Amino acid sequence: MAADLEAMILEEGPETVAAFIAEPIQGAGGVIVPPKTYFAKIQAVLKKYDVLMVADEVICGFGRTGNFWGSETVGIKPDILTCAKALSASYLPISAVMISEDVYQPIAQASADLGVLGHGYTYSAHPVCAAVALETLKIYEERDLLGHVRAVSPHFEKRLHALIDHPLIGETRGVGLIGAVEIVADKATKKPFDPKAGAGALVYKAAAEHGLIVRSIGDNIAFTPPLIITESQIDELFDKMSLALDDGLAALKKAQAA
Amino acid sequence: MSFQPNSPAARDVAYFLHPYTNAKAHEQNGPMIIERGEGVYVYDDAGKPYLEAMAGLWCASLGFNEKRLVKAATDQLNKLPYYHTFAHKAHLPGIDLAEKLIKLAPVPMSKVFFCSSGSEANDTAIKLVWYYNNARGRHAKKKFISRIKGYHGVTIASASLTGTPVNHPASTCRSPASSTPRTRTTTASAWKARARRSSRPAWRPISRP
Ligand SMILES: Cc1ncc(COP(=O)(O)O)c(C=O)c1O
Repeated sequence: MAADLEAMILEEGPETVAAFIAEPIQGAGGVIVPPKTYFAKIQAVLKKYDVLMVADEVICGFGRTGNFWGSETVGIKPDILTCAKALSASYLPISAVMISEDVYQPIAQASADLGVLGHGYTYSAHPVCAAVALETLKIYEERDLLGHVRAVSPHFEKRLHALIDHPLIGETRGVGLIGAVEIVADKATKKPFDPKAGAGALVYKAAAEHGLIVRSIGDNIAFTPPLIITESQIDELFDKMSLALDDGLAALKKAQAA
Repeated sequence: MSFQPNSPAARDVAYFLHPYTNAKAHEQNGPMIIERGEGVYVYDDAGKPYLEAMAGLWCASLGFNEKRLVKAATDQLNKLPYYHTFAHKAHLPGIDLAEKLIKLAPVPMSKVFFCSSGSEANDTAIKLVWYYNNARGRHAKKKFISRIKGYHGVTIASASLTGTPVNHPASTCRSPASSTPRTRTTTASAWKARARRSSRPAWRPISRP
């Protein structure tokens, strides 16, 4: 993988490649957890060619992966970090871009030369959003939410990975309180269902009928519950999910027979 | 499906274009209307509870009725409901939050720039990187490499980083005129054309654990 990246940088011309951006754990793409040494190898290549590392912590930031930042979980040392969502528990819209001193200095000098940093939004640091974000961070600290995530996530991971025993599930992935399962037509070969069967959407619907809101990403079903979830609520989540998978299996079988 | 005249569902179908929604299916099936929340649960307009296993959009970390956040918002609304931060203006919530984030950062960081969404934050990251390299006299150093299946937002620039085909306007705008952004600047055009190509070989689906 690192060799691919290096080849691409060389093909494009290192003098034209400015930055590499990645989520520590890919979220909306289907909860994809990188191999242990992935980012160490990637960042060695980036350093060599003076390419900045941008960590997109929009999902992973603030405890989701069992560390305060996803970057800590996967070993990213970002030059720039973006975050949002759990920054304010999403009660009000606010996001942030953090930059290192090395990135800041040339920008500051250019803004002086030009007279202004020509960028900014009407709502940049909106005071009400900022106040809610501050209070959110205070709550995280006072209630040791990270400690809570670390305490309950082994149970979450256990129940998540146990879904591999269901006839519909070909793979389970996750860390901390972010997880996904992949629905397959054939467990042995991991052959997917025909997309027309809409297996993921069927399971999503069945889950809603059981009083559970999940996310279907193709035939992956993702889970990122509120970080305050308790062990018994984790049980409820996966009990309902099992029922939804049973319903989905029955519906898919019925459709196949028809 | 027919909706009760003037019901919230009927009015939703009549007036509301939903993000990330099949608009035609929506006309048929209508919305799921969520009315209130409590802890990890939300309740629909019939009072049915749902365990929200996605925290909304991977985000509502403290669940759906954290009173302290309501109070923090109310207090600030009463004190200073709006002010901006252009041209040397500042306010305490912004200052405190910037300091707090820098202290929490996983590596030493220097400054915080605030926006309102993930997409805007990533757009800002792109712009600051361009600014940074222009300032260093490296005017050609503008390309971003992102990954297939990466998600970085939906604004034009951040969508270019997003590695799912459905997010690329060119894949949905069939007319050649509209599939070519007309607002490209020189640097942006060089970067955008490459970005799509560049995102490909960098990413092999990570070997599954
Ligand atoms: C990793 C990541 N980056 C960026 C975004 C975009 O954020 P927003 O929808 O607030 O623009 C998202 C949204 O899901 C995300 O998951």
